[in-house]
Amino acid sequence: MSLRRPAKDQPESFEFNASSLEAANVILAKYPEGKQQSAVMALLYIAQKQNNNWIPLAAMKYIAKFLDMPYIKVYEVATFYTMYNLAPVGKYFVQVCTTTPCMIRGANQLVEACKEKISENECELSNDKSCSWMEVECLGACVNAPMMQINDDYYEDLDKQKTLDILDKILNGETPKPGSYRGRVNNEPENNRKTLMDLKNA
Amino acid sequence: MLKLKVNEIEVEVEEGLTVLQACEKAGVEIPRFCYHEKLSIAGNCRMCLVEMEKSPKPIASCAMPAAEGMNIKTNTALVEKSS
Amino acid sequence: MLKDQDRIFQNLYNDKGSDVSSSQERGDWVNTKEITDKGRDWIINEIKESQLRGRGGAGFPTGLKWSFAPKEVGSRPHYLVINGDESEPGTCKDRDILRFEPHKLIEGCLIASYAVQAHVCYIYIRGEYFVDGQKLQAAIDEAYEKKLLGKNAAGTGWDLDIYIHYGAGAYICGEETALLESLEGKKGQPRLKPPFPALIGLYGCPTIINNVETIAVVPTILRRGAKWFASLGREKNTGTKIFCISGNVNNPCNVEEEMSIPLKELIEVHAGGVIGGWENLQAVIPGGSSMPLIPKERCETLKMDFDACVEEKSGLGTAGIVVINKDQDIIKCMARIARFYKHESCGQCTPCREGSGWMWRMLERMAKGDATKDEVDMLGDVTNQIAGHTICAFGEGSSWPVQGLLRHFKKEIEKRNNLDPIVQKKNNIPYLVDQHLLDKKNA
Repeated sequence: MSLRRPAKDQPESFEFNASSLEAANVILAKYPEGKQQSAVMALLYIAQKQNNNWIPLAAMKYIAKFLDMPYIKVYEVATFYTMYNLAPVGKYFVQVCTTTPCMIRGANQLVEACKEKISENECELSNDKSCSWMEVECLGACVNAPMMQINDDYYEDLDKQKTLDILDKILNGETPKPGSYRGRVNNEPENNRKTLMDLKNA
Repeated sequence: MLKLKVNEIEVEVEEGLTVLQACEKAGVEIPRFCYHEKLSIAGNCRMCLVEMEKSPKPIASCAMPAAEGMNIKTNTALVEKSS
Repeated sequence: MLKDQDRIFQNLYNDKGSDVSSSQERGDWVNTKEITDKGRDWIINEIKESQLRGRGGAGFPTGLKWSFAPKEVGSRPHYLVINGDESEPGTCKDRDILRFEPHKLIEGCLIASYAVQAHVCYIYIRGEYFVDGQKLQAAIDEAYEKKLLGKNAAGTGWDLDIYIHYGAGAYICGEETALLESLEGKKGQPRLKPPFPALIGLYGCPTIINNVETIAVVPTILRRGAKWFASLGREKNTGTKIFCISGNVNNPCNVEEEMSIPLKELIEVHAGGVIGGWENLQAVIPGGSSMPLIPKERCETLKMDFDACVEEKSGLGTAGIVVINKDQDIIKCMARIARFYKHESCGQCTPCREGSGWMWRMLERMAKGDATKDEVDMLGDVTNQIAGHTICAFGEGSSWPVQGLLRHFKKEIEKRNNLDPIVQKKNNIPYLVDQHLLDKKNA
């Protein structure tokens, strides 16, 4: 189990803005009547997106009222799942996969790069408060190891220099291109493709 | 009424009872942490594991409904080691 | 090597695009109505005859699973749930299906929903695959537009709605009952079985849960016939499978191959060989991190299918092959996997919640050489106390890799760890303190 605590400084109140409210109503329509509790995970995402990448306790209380369910149930969900950030993580949240398949291809170099560029410790905001990083468990892109995720996008086939370049870009406020950084197409064996060749040439 | 065997002792219990309750009826007390008759069944302390014939793994007696013809063992080496 | 025309996922590398029209060129959606017109029993029988086994790890026969759904719809509706919570380290096959072959999955959903009489299908995707989920959502929207979904989907007379539900980074939600809990908006903690989801599942209704890859191969099987599918591979391990080859190989990749293909061929031909040559191979994890590793000498002849892997006391699992060469410290690799399991345990059952942490801390010390002689056997004992004693299969999943390490690399651990028992040396090792939790302030 992972231990997760809400941040000390919490805002007083939280409310969905118009676009969040619209998105929330679209989500609610997915589930049968009376089962609106199912929407809690998606609503927490919406709150996280609206509130600069993290979920304050006020948002959990708001969602509990919104879905007519006990606050503790929302709190349970928000603290159980690791993708809900309970403390500020900055505009750019870097997650480096360090599970075995990435580890044996040098994920520790990515961690070093994050330490150099962002902050000494994980889950700590950078000097300009725009960015933080964290070691996470398998992100499911093992054949593109080592890799990291920045907000929603995957950056694959990295090494230390490439990671430093990417981090430089995001610290300058740019969004680097996601995908493989060794120029390979998706998950194909690099320069060694032996299957589905006629499709490739066509 | 269901007939089942607990440590070779035959017992008859009404339907809807769990294996743990059937064992009590046979005079076999099963150690437990999370089970309490006034609470809903959690089945997560894994203290009450017993051996059931035809099941490769030991089962949580507090959560398993008693069924006709079950053969439960609570005193084997496997059970003593596992709980 | 499998012939190209026998590959089901023609667009695995996205050479062609994943929209409806290019999918139709590849044969999707062509005669869906003809398939459903043959009836439920025919579909289920055909899947049974094809001997398709679930691709999500356990390898349960799919046709048999479908036949567990009640024959008549009672007062409670039926549901079909697709498990796309792909979190097993070493596995990334479903991601490619979601983004490059979404219409195979959607058509599979329609056929499977028809077979188990479900009008609503939920696709559960792990939260990290948000971008890939968006691509699937675009494909679903396109299918609605072309009347392939919704009322009278694809002219079959069957109504079907498909919704995507995102997870939020919990490995355990890949377990089917935990997935249902998560779908209901609760913590993802597995349910007690019985009752099984086929009778009491989502919202207490009959629910069939299948892996993404399982459902995505169904339309092709029904089109080309069960005999064709069963002719690939060998008895009870039929068909094709997407293998994900990662770790210390020259060209890590995803590739669709025939079942029962030799492991050596997969690594040497498709993945460009082990880094440093075959002789530099140390061990292979054949099916995602929860399967015990297999040392080099057994890898020479290993065939990649469910039964052959079980004979080697391992398993095919999700077919996520992690190759570990001799440059790596095998104890450290397994300690990292143990840390993964410690992090992902849902905390419900005592043996797993506590034991996964014990295993991680012991292995971490063993990697450093800080453990005592007697602890090696103690570690084996801990794994035996977890496996088989928990509500879900996570107990096995977390202890099997450690058992595999002890089975094949015990000498190496013992060589590194020859301290006398702590009591004699008065060595103060704080093994009860969970360092991992203390370190993080804001996590």
